[in-house]
This record gives sequence, C-alpha cells and structure tokens, in this order.
Amino acid sequence: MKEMIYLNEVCLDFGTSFSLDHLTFQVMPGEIFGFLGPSGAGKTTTMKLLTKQLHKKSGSIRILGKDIEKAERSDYDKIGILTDTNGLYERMSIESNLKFFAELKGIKEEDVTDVLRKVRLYDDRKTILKKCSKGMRQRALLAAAVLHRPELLFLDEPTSGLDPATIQEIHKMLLDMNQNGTTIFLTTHNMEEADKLCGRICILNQGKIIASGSPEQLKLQFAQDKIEVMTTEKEKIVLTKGPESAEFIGRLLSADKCLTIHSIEPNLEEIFLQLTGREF
Amino acid sequence: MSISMRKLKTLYKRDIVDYLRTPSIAVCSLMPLLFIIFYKNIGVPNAAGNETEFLLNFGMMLNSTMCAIMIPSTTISEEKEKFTLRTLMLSNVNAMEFFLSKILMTTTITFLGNLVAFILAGADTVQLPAYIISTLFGNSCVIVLSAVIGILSRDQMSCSVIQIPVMLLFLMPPMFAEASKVLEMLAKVVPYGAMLQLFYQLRGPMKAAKIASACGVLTVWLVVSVVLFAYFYKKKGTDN
Repeated sequence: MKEMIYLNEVCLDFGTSFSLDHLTFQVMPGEIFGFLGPSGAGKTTTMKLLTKQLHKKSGSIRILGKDIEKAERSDYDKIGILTDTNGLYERMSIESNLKFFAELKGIKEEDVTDVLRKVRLYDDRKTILKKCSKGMRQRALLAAAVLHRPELLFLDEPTSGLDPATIQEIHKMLLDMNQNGTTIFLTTHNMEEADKLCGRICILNQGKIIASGSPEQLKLQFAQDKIEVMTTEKEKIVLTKGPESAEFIGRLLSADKCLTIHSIEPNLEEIFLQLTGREF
Repeated sequence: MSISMRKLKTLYKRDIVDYLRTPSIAVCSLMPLLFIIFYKNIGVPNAAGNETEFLLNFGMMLNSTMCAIMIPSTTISEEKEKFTLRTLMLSNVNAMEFFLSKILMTTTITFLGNLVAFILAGADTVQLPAYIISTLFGNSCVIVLSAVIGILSRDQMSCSVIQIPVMLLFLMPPMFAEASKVLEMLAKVVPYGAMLQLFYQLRGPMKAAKIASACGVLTVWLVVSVVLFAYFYKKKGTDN
C-alpha cells in the first residue's frame, strides 16, 4: 500500500536556532495522523512544506506516492488544505463563497448544500462572511477544504480558538470523513484532540521528532510502574507493581473495600514533559 | 503552467461581481467619466474649439493611469491581506489563472470606461478603431505593471504607498509637458504619452516612424512589466 505522505530526512533552515532537522515519517491511507508539538516546534512549517508553500533544503517528500516536485496538478485536486492563514471573501455570503470554490473545483451545487448541512451552516448560509463568528468562519473554511471530497486532508490547528461545542462538531465531521476513506494529517498543540482523533501521532520539538506511535503505545511506553486503587472510603492509594501490592489488592477485594483499580498512564502532555523537560 | 478555462472563467466572474461591490474601486473607474461630464458643463478653459479633443485625452489619461494602476494592484493586495489568495493557491488555482483574471477584469473595466468616455466626449466615431487599439495597447502595459505593484505589496496600505508615486510619474509629464523640455521628453516615454502619440498617428495622417516609435515605447513597457512580474512572482511565490 503506497503511503499518502512520505518524508525522509527532510531539513529546512531559516537561519534560526533550530530548523526542521532530518524529519522522517509516513502517513498511510485511511489514517488520522497527528503532528503534535508546542508553538514554534515546526508543525506549521512541516505543513507548509507538504503543501508546497515552502521549499525543503534537503531530503525527499512524496505526496500520494509521487515526488512532491513532480506531482501534477490533477494530484492536487485530490488534496484539501485548511491552514491558519486561509481566508474567504468577506463581502460574499457563506453560500456564495462555497459555490465559488465549488465552481473552481468543478463540483455540483447540490454538493455545496450537502457540505453546508454537514458543517451545520445551512441555516446561516446567507450570512455575509464579515458578520460571521470565528466558529462559523472556521466551519466555512473547513467546508471549502472538503467540498471536493479529498483523498488527503491537511488541517493546521483546525480547532484553535474555538468553543467546545464547535470543536465537538468539527471532530465528529472529521471522524465521519475518515470513516469514508479520507486520510487526515492534523497538526495541533491540543493533546486531548490528538488523543481523541488520531490513530498515530508524532511529537515534534524544536524541529525534531522526539516520539511517534499510537497514543496508546506512547502511554504504555511511558507508563509508570504504579497502580492507583480507590477504596470504598474514597481513599486513593498508589502502589508499586509487585507481589506485595497484588496481595494487598487481593485483601481489599476480599473485604469488598475496593472501588476502582487503575494503572497510572501519563497523558500526552505529561509524556512531552518527560521527553523535553518543559511544558507545552 | 497550464490554464484551466473553467477556473479562469470562475475567477473572472467573481472579480467582476466583487468590483461592483467594492465602492472604492468602482468609484475610481467613474472618476474619468465624472470629470468629462464636469468639464463639459463648465466648459474647458483655453480649449480654443478643441474641447472634444481635451475631454477625450483627459478621459484616456485618467483611465490609463489612475484606473489601470489602482484596480489590479488594490484587488491583488486585498486578496493577499485577507489571505484569500493563499486559499486560492491551496485550492489548486495557479498563479497564471489568478493574475490573468485580474488583468482581464481590469482590461474589461478600462475598455468600457474608455468607450463611455469616447461617447461622452462626443468624439467622431471615425476615430473609434484608432482609439480602441491605442487604449488597449497602452493600458495593457500599465495593467501588468500594476499587477507587479500588487505582488510587491503586503497589504492595501503598502499598496497605496507604491501606487501614488507610480501614478504621479505617469501623470505629471503629460499634464505639464508644455511647462518644460524635460517633462515634454518624459511625456513621450510614459505609457500615456506613447498611447496618445499612437492614437494621433492611427487616426491619420499616419507617419510610420512615429507609429513605430510609439509602439516601441509601449512594447518596451510591456516587456519590462512582464519581466518584472515574472521575477517578483518567482521571488514571492513561496514563503521562503
């Protein structure tokens, strides 16, 4: 199976203290791949490289199985892109904007109505864009990026600055799209979002990948050797794994005093802290 | 770089509709016509029976300098400022389609403006073919140069900083040519001056040398504009 995205030893230098340093990763078809890191880690720079807004210094990049420099125009018709520097036409309504992009991409008008319903903007479709809230604009931008049902979707912090209800709607839409076959490359500094949506993630720090794998794999990899037990008296007890702890838990269970037993796994933010010694 | 006619047509339609919805740009293309109507009503001082000639030249001058410079550069810089240009590029619209749409939109507007100016000035229809050829040729190099201004500008504010000196450079020499030999010489090499020269020659009697000279000046401007456009587009085409 050909990778949708393939980077090998990609470097980029802006002359700053760090750059993209020998990035290597791949994204397989049907995945939701998360690219995580704090602000300034290089997530957006990587996204720009993949969408040809920047040129790499060295290394190789393949998109949809083709070298990025040799990719044809028709290949880019299979890609949808939403970045934090996208904009729509403010003097046009949401619907007019989407109809414009639909016409550009050769999409039927009925598909515009379909997408408007999916992003829950159908009732507001006649609203002029400059009167729309941030959440509405973001959903309109997402709609424009997915109008043509792309095989590969690039999303650069798609839920940044949005309220929880809107975020949930966008997440649902992305999961639906992924179920229908769209591969999603998502950059975010929201660890919860990555945990919820992504099948695999890479954690980036100062231009380098410091960890990669599924969220569950990473949590198990960095899991502490501890177990947390809550008793019926609502007392939390942290035990180190071992025969003595097993015996103690056994006694609690026999006495019917054990409410819950959990292994202690770090969240992605704690993993990042462990790896880098700094917070997000 | 291939051009999709469907995309070009869609962009062009949108640009025309947006032009009609943007008061600042729409008013700019009405100004030459309003000036012609104004002068027609109050009379042209020192016209000495050449009122029609004056009105026609005045309309041509304003259209080819003010409108042809303002419209493409302002619309391009607005698209850069509002990030809609980036959205278009990321929607698989290539640069040639984008700029060609702006150039065609401006050509349409300035062509119609010149036509209405011709009618309002009350010029003889015999001059119309010469007028159309010279204004289309003359405006084309200014429009492409204006697209260069749009590429160079980060936003509309910085665009106007570049537009004004260019407009003055193209306007002042022809307006004050009689005041000085230097300005008279400059008037012959700015696009409007060459356009006017071409118009006078094409409407007769034709002198090959003068036609060649006018066409030569306009061709040089067009080539320089295209080269500058290609250079700055390549330089600014990506974020690095």
